[in-house]
Amino acid sequence: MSSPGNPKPKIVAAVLAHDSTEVSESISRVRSQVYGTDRIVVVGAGSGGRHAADAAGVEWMSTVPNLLGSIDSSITHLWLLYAGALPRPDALAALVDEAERTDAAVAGSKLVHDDEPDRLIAVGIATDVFDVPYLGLDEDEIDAGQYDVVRDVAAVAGVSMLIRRDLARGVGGPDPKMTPEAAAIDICQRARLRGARVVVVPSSEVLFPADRFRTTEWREGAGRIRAMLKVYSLLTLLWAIPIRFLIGLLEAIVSPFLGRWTLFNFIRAWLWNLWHLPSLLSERAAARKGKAFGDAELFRFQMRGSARLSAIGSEIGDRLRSRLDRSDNLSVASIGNDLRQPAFIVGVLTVLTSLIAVRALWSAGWPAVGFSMPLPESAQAGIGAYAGGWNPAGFGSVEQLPPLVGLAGVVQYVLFGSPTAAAWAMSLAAVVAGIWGTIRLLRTWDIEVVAGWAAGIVLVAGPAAQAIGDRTAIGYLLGLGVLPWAIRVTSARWPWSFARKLGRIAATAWVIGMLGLVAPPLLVVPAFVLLVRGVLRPADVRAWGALGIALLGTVIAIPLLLPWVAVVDIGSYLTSGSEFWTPSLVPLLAIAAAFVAGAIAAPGRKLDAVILGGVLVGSGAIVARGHDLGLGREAALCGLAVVALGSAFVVGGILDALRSADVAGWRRVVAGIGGVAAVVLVATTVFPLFGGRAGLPADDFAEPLRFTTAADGEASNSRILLVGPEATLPGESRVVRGAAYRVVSAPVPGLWEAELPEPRSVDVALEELLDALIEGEESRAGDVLASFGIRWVVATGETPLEAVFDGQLDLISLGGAKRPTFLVDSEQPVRAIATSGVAWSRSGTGYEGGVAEGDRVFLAESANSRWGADPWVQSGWGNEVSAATGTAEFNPIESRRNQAVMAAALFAILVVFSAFARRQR
Amino acid sequence: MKRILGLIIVGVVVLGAVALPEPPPVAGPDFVGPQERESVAAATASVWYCPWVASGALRDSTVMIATKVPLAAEITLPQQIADEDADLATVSVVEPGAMVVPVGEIVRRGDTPLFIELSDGPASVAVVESSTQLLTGDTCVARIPKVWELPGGTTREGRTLTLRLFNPFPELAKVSVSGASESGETGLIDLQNLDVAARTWQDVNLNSLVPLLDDLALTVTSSEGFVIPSLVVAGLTDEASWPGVAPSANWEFPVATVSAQYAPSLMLTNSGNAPVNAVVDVYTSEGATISAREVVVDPSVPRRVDLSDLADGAMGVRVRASAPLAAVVLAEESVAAQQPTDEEGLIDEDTILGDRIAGTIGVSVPATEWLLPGLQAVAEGSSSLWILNTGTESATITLQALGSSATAVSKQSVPPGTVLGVPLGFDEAIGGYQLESSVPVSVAWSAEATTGLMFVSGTVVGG
Repeated sequence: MSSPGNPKPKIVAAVLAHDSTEVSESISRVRSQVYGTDRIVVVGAGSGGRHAADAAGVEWMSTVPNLLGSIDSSITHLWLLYAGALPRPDALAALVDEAERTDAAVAGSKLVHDDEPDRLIAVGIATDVFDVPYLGLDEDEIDAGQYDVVRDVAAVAGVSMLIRRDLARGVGGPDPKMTPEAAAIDICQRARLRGARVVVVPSSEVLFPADRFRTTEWREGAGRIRAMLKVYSLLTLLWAIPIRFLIGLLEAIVSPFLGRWTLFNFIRAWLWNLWHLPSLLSERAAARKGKAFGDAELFRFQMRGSARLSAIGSEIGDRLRSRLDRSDNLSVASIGNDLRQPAFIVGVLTVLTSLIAVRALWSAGWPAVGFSMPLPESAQAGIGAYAGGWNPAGFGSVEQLPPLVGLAGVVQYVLFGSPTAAAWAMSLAAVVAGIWGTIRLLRTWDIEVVAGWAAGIVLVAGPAAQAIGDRTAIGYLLGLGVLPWAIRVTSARWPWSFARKLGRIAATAWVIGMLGLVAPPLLVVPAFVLLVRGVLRPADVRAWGALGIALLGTVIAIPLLLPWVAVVDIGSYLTSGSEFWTPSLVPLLAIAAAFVAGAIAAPGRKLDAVILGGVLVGSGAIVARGHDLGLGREAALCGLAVVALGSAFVVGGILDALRSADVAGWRRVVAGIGGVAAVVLVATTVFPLFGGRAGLPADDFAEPLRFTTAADGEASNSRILLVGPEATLPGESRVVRGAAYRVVSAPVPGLWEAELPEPRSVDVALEELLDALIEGEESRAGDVLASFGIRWVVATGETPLEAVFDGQLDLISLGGAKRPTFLVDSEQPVRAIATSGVAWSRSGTGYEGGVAEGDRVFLAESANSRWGADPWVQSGWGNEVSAATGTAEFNPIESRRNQAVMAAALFAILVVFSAFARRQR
Repeated sequence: MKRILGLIIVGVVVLGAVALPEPPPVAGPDFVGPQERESVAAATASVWYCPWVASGALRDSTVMIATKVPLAAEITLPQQIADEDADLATVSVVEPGAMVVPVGEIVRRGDTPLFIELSDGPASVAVVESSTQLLTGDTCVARIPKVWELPGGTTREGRTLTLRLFNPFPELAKVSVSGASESGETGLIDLQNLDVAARTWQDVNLNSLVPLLDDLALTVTSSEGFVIPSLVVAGLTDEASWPGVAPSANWEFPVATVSAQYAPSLMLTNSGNAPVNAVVDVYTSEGATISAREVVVDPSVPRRVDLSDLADGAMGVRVRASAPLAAVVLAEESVAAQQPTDEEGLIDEDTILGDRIAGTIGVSVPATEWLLPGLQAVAEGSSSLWILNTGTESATITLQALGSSATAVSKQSVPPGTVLGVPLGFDEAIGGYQLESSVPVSVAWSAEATTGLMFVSGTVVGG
């Protein structure tokens, strides 16, 4: 009630229509309110809404802002009511009274089930800092008046919200881009920033369909993110955004094990916000303009922690309790039941195993050892270098970087440019996907989850995976995560609908394309596996059909590898480098025993899996040992991946055979022996898994080279010459008189430096220097090394090259270093130096320094006329460019850049189309 | 059937994989370290280290460069105090020839060991140090081994022995010095783990550490970094200096003495574990006395071989040993000529005679082409060229003077088994010589003045 002297509040009721249905009933409920409204307006739903309004004899407005514009100043409040909401007759009166009494600018009703009015839906909304709502109610909680007190809340439901007209106009009304619930939270937050009170009035009851209240649509999530981005200060957003992102990512990983699939919603929600960034920025400016309070006022009404994580935790806890609450939970029968339906436990195990397997990468990213190197500091630089930019390996070149560099750059970019987070996330995703994908793949062959899980473990950490890890082939380790999916997506039942058929082909293409992006030779593996399967099951039409889809998908996937695939000499790529797989005896015997036992004892489709696995192990081994056949490192690694997949099939087949009732008598004994062998094989995975680096060896360079950061100036402005046995050097190396060496960037080489380009004149010049040193003909090696931008020489192991740097007049032996190290005793041993003598700093793949008209900069990079700023002049083996702009950049190769953009666009189209088609019925 | 077929297929495939051979191991490095630098005039850039140099109020030094090609020479004279900036000078030899660089024109601050970086080669460097009372010098060295042998030292009465440890490199050198005397190994405890700071030097007075030893041979070992040592024997006035050597089983000394006035001796040191038999052949202009002496050199006991009774006048020496030895020759004025030079019977020390000393290292392998920086360029005395032909064929020598007006070419013949001395005096237009021979010979030169005597070994061209 209004106090004496104050005019009675005048209300306009706005019925927010989604479509033409349910409007009339809500309007009649509004008309029957004991507190009369001055106007009733139906808002939204287009022509349907207009017709519904006409039928009910009320006005219609297209949007809330239009409505706000049409309301004169005599109206004090706006009552927003969803169509379908059924307010009790005193609902509005209670809202008005309590809002007046408490001086609240926003007041919301208590929501109860429309079919069971004694069950609560919501009594105000608390949110976490990420604007995820938390109702604080148990499922099916009965309304016994336990919440019947007017109180301040973070937000009220938009189903029935009374808001002061002036405030509604001041904040611009609900955000039309948001779904209703997110919009309600958003408007409440914006109101609170301006000092308004937001209260829930339980005496105002509104009946509402419960299934319409909470939605899991991605737009709801997108709206919450938008609401968060609009109201918080930049300082809050600095930590809130990454945490919100990681929570979403974690939810996407865990949800499938809880029967949900949130990954695409998660991606779409963020992409939607990126797409609407301009409007977000203007809305944010408006929301924060004239604010009376800071973020702390919002925090006051929010719950601590994450509502999503709490919900997931509760769900997991419920499921566990539902399993453990039984009195016979330790009985053999109970364990047997669990083994028969262990999807959840296996899921938890998978996540835990994966988290353990990659835990060390969280803080340090990929280790610097062999071909494994940390991601570059700049994601954009990585993407740019892949897409027609400068390849910074060695002394640089225009040779095309492998697709993994570009892919990792994109992931890094999405993860806010963090190289460690990107490496961790990619490795984690690979391990999870590898295990999970194997489970899913083997289930299509009637192999149950426990055996599938063991097979997945063998795939990602078995002997072949260990061999890949030992060879520090990150791409192939990641590829192991995609491989089972690439086969499964082709092997799954062929859909009936045309759209879904196209979607399946698109999905096949992008999944196989993903394989190619991480490790190009793996592109052919799915088709090869399915070909072998077809040969082993010649009468199986589905197997041949899957092969056809795989081949089609592979062909479509090839453009995804642009520009790499257009530039690289495939023959040379597959034959260069030297690898030879010599498996350890114990795992080898275990695989052999498991296979033989499986081939003898496994029944039906499990036998198919075992034989297919055996053929894959054998054929993969031929490729992995194919040095004599002219095969190189990449081919050998591809062979190892095939061995890993085959081992997984063998393990899955034999372990699941143990479960089969068809295996009896002596066959059961044989299967038991095979099972023991499979368990031994699984046991061999413990070491790489618990190493915490996703199977990669320990870091070999980052720590020993860290001393460079303690030197005067920026370490990244210089290079390091590493000498030592080939196996101890990072990535590829060069050889002088049989001794290996290579040049890397300081302080630690990045992933894009793993593969060296073909030798150029600068490499020849360095080799000549080393040769002169070996011949004892050079006494000032430091001067010459400085001209290459080399500041340190570090020996990584026993090498006669170490001694050649002794006795130089300008090289200082650093006694305190972890490895034998020489420091170049020269004024400016830097990669880029102006003619004025000022060193330029490295920035991405280019350089920056002081602007100086007429000054020139020498770049110790392999000579290339695309370096600028113009005019460019070749200076010996290096470059000289103008210092006038303060930057020296490589002008990217346009054709390659266009190809990369095209590949990215095609990838996005395939992903979106496959997801869209999957939803078609 | 399916099972058997599966087993057979997989068996065949696996056998195929097993049959593939392992790749052969990759060939390792074809070198074990840097090619050891020799003090030869090679056709490349080179650095020559000259430890015993001084230029101050009392002494002067001259850097002598002889080259077959045009080159630039950067002379660096470090400071004795660590981290002080070195003095630098750059000179150019625009045509093949020789150049004489007085150190005093660069800096005059007393002791100034230096190193010279030559931009090209073949070229060689020697240093001459002189004063009103001494004349000494030798060729500089280009090699930088970790272990140096320095035979020929003595701390007997009337002799002062100084070891200079020159570290021209940018890092600290840790050096240990061990000694061997006629009494066997000599404890030099104070000279263990000696720090020689980067780009500085240290002088060690051995008389105070191990006095009154007739023969003392030193071994300098660098555990970290490198040093260039030089051993200096000083008499009353004159002094002789020579660099370290690498042991060899064959040594040739074209000059052991220039006249009967100087008593020659050969100093041999065996750093091995077993006694070494050494045969000394003596060569004069008249011919050779093969196996003139046969001596046994015990490990860690230096052996002094007096040569003064083997020939009268100038002589050259060859040493043939059963195992590598380090060797130097010394020539010391044998008659003390300290006669009164005025009516009152006082000795004028400015003109004192009788204590002139010279010493030099030998040549381990005779060669056909030599550079002799400084020959005929020592203003203080007359120079002589010494050519030793220990072969069986007569050597035809072509002698090319190097310098600003060096056009004269002369021919000489050295019969087999002889040593030829060619007196050359002083010519300010000449800075050195280039020598070519039809057969391998050994070459050195000497300079004699009233103030002193010096021997300088030649530098082999090639290497």
